[in-house]
Amino acid sequence: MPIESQPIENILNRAEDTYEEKATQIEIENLSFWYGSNKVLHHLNLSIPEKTVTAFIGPSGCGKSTLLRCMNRMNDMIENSRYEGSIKVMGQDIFDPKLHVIELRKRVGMVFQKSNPFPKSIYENVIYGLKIAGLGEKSALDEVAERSLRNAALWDEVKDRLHESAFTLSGGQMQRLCIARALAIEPDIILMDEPCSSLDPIATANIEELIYQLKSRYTIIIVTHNMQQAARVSDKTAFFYLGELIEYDLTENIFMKPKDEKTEDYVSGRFG
Amino acid sequence: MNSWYKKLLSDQGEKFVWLSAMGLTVGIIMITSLIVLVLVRGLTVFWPKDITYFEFTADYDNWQRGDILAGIVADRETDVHHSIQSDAAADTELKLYIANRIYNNSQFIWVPENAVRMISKPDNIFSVHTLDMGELFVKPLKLVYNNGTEVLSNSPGFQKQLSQSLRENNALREEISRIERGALSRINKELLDIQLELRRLELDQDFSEAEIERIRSELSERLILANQQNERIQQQILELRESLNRIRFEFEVQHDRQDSISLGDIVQIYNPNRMNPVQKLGVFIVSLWDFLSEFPRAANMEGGIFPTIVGTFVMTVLMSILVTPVGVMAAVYLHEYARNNLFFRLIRTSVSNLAGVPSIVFGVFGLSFFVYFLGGGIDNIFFQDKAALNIPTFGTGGILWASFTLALMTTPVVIVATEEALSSVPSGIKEASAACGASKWQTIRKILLPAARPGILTGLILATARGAGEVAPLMFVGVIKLAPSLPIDGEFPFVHLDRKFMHMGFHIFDLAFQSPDSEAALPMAFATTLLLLLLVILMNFVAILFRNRLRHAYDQDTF
Ligand SMILES: Nc1ncnc2c1ncn2[C@@H]1O[C@H](COP(=O)(O)OP(=O)(O)OP(=O)(O)O)[C@@H](O)[C@H]1O
Ligand SMILES: [Mg+2]
Repeated sequence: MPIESQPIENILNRAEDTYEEKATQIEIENLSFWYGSNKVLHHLNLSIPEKTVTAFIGPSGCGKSTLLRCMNRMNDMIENSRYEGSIKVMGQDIFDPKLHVIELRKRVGMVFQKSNPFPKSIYENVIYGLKIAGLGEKSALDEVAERSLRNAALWDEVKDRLHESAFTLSGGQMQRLCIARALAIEPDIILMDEPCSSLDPIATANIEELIYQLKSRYTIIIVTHNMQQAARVSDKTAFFYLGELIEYDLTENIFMKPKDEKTEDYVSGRFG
Repeated sequence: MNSWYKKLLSDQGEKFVWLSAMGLTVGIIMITSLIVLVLVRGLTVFWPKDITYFEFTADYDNWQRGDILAGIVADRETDVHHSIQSDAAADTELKLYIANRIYNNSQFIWVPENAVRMISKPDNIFSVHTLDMGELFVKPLKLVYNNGTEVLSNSPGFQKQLSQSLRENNALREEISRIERGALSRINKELLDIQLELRRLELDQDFSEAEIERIRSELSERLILANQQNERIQQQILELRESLNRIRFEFEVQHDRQDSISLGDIVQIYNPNRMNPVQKLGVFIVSLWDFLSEFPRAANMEGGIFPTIVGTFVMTVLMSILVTPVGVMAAVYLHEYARNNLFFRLIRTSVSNLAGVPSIVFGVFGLSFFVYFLGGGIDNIFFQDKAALNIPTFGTGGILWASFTLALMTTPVVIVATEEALSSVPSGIKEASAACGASKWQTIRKILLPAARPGILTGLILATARGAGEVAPLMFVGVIKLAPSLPIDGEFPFVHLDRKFMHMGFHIFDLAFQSPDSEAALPMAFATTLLLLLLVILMNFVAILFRNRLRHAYDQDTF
């Protein structure tokens, strides 16, 4: 039976995988966010444990991307945006004016919905973050490039063409390249905004497998519209609706016994 | 109510296609005819044309019935009365190129077609290109050496003797100009230096009497030495000139008049009527090469346009060097850092409008700001002694200020193109760069600018093409009709930014409108036009190649 059509309960958490609560890594307290006068996040409270996969689900426009972009302060680049409340990453308030945003982004990597490799070679793409940080030693760069590409399950496909343009890769390969690029800077947290939305089922399965492999070392937050995907890869799931956090629990609970009616409607596909 | 109108539009859709196609056709026809005209009139200048004898069949102007005239038909027109009216006046008139500027008032005459008759293409008529007397159509008689020997034109060795002597003379002339540009200009500089030192001595109060005396005697020694050297070199030049003039060329021109000129005044002699196409091609190539590589002579009407090529090229390169960083930086600031408020919107609008300001305005600005204000200031601070003698260095037009002026004029083009190129870079890769921990400046340098490079280069091409062809503003800031020296030469510091220079665009204007004989200068003007056109096309072509190479380095399909 193809994965996509299996009932949720069949694909929820693998047998060997029993989740135990871990230490909190990201602590969101009373966060609100405005684009101009448009308030898109309402008083969110959420704590995300380390070395787990957390899925953000919810209907389009409910603010999942916005919340994700708050966590590495990507929203700084948008004029007229404003926030209230606080986010602590590893105990450090990221809105603290004394905090160096570049240091934060080195701790919190990001993979975007639309794959966005630089117009450079595959190799240059992977080591970009390191070069920016001032690392210039060829052997060290080579080593990191290989390790990141291996971790992103791309090495075997590109090891003979590292110096070709990144645009010669397929869509799924490009997305894995972007993941490799994020891994190369050795973050603690990886934010993924719908990483599989433009990929075919095989590439999607590859990336899901990859996420599964990565979670022993990284804290991963993934935004997805695909309920099966959320069920397959995540340990915990947060459901948002109109900028509010409706329910946040173990993935099992969200899908099998949701407490809120809206959550139940959404995960069973009745709206959204 | 307006349904008939809609119907008309939809019915006539095809006709609108035709209309736009017609617009395109008109444009293409205009451009092609421009290029063909310039190409034909520019290139035929150097092609040796057969010389014909015309006989007057009636009295006309100064000519009498039976007079014979050597010439080339340059034009034929009906119903325009260029010729002086006479009994023989007719509807159709011929424009004859008869050369021999020194014997007639003009190199061209208009005659009624029925007043002349073509009689033959004689074997023994020569076209003689002189240094500063223009072209002569003559019948050669003999070569006379200053030791008395003569070589008659019908003797077998004549042709060989002639071409060999001409070759020797060319070498001599080169030697002379080398001395003039080298040793002589060094001595002139030394003389000027001595003059400056003397002046400084007068102005400076710090020296004691004894010191002044010592320096003065030192300087006068230097002066004597320089003068001696000067004399020696003048003597050397004189000797070279004498040997240049060792042979006289005797010939016969129209009206059976005999005359002679020194062979040293002749650049090129050939006999077009006896040449086959291959030989003509040889002359064509030599003349073309001379045109490209020689300095102008005889009020720019003769010789080549080498200095204008160098001037145009150096100025354009300098301009590009100046305009690129300024334009790109300004665009980066406007695009990446400036907030979208009223102030910056105003600035953006002004920048776009600046591109439409008439170029002459920039010329006036360049003169008052760069030349008088900046240049004058530099002179007052760094070249005080020369300024005291009223010798401006930077306080007068020069290639540097011309480049500055044109750079200013073309900055808006570069800014607008760069901003556009920056906007076309997808925001995704900017965000990706930031997410990798890059600062804003790093993102600009490593991602934005490289990705925008093809667009920036396009802007630069446009700017260069505009700058290279611009003439009006240059007249204020350093272009002259005859520059004594090039902006780049072997003399330290090799690039002379303070020098005045020649420019192809201005040269065309000068030839066509300011020559003593503008009709005679017109062929040169066309040849120069052709070259200017080629230079601009060449520069664009190279830049486009370069841009395409960059574009292909990474296939940017996904953008
Ligand atoms: N740059 C922006 N400027 C102004 N408003 C924005 C901007 N980005 C997003 N918004 C608005 O904020 C709200 C939340 O957007 P967000 O992108 O976070 O939704 P999302 O949950 O990620 O949706 P999707 O699932 O479709 O990606 C939307 O109403 C959107 O219109
Ligand atoms: Mg989104």
